[in-house]
Amino acid sequence: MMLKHIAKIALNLTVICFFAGTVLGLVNLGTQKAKEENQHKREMLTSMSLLGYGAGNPAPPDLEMRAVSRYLLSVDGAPALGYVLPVDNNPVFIVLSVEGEKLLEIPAPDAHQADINQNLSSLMGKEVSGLRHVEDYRIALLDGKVLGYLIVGNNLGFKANIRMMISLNADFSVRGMAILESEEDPGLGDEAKEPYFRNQFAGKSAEQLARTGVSTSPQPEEYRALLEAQPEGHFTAEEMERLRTVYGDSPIYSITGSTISSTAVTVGVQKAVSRFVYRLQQVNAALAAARTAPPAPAGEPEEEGV
Amino acid sequence: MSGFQLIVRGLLAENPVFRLALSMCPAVAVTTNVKNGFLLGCAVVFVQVMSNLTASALRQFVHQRVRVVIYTIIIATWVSAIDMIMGAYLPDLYDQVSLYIKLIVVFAIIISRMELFASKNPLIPSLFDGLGMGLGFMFGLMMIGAVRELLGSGQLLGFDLLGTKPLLIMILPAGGFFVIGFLMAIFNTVLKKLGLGAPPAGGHH
Repeated sequence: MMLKHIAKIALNLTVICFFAGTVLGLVNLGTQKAKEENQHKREMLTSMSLLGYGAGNPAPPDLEMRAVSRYLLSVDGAPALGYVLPVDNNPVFIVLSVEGEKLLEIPAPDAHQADINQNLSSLMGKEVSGLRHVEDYRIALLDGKVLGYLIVGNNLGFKANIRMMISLNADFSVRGMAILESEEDPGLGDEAKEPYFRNQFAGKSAEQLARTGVSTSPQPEEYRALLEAQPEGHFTAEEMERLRTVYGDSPIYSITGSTISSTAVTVGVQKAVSRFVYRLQQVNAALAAARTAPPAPAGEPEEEGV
Repeated sequence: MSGFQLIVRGLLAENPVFRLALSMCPAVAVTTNVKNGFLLGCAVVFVQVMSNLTASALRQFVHQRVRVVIYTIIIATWVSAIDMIMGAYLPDLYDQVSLYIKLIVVFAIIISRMELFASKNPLIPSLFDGLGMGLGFMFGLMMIGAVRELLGSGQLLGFDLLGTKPLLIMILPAGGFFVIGFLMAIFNTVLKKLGLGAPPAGGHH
């Protein structure tokens, strides 16, 4: 009798969970494509805005966006890094050891090739496995010169993950930052999307960004006025110069009542930038070792480097 | 009761906001303007109708002892569904109400209708009950939103009407409580005049 009861309740809940799973699975399947398109569209708009282009200032036709894709793989059991990047206008696939030693350089293979691990294995004469795409960096080129880099950062916020996009100048100083996705509370952590918080990153060099802290003191009035002068973060040259010289070393002033969210965003930006700079330099060094001329476009910012 | 009567009942005699006083939290939280009230109302109509239909279809099958667990799962399923659908097809509007959409999971009105009505009635009446309650809720939110938007921001549907903000407190939470109280009083007075006084104890269940 008791067993029958348990079985009935268990069956009840099993059926309902199966029903819920089916409904959500179908809805997810149906909305996946539209969701990805939205996300892509939003990222493109944010990219353009972070490069300083918008409704009043359309991007010039010769602006070029190129992707650098980062992969993780395993060579003879040891972890290694793979990059697909344009070198002299041709996509190239390189494999680096963790120490930065170049293991392979070939014209970029088709990423959809089913037996790509096999092909790499025979090319390198070593056991290659587990090739997987991790992320894309974007390089904006104007007249063949590096205008800036766009990278995406990630960090756990107050409740859920926060994704932010950071725009760097050719010398790796920050041009701007925008939140791509977050679920912070409105009026609190969600304020990270407001100019007075997000524009604080603009104008900081990579070193200044790396050592900046989060301050809970009130934000100085004139600093806030400057940050809010351009809600989209499209600062004029003079405003940028002031951000650079006067406020470059100022801390990130946290949102009142949301120190956790503020710190999460700040650390996310710091991590993303420092890792990107380190990786780009590693790739450039590996590529330059084999060539006399530095490769374009990834090799360009070397002189101003970090 | 016919379908039409069920809808009118949800709108007037058993209006969730002004008569049943259920789900008052969102009635304060999202009603700073008409548009948010309307959007959240749409989501509630969807969740209420789908949850009612599911509960009604499963009413012979649900074990009484675990019905709360089952209803909770049903509500959470439809809320997640509308959350994904709005996120995919109405991304701009979704940005403004996404936080509140997720909160529909804990709206008292949904589970209350499933328990009181859908679990005892066939599919068609449950559909109309869900529609009526959802529309009644939407109506309540939009009324509150209209008063608060007009008095608090001097606007209606985003159009500047007054050119000034007569009572800023109206868009703050305290204003929400004031407006709900006043509207509830007006609503009840009007219904009384129409001969739709307070329902008998326990409502029409």
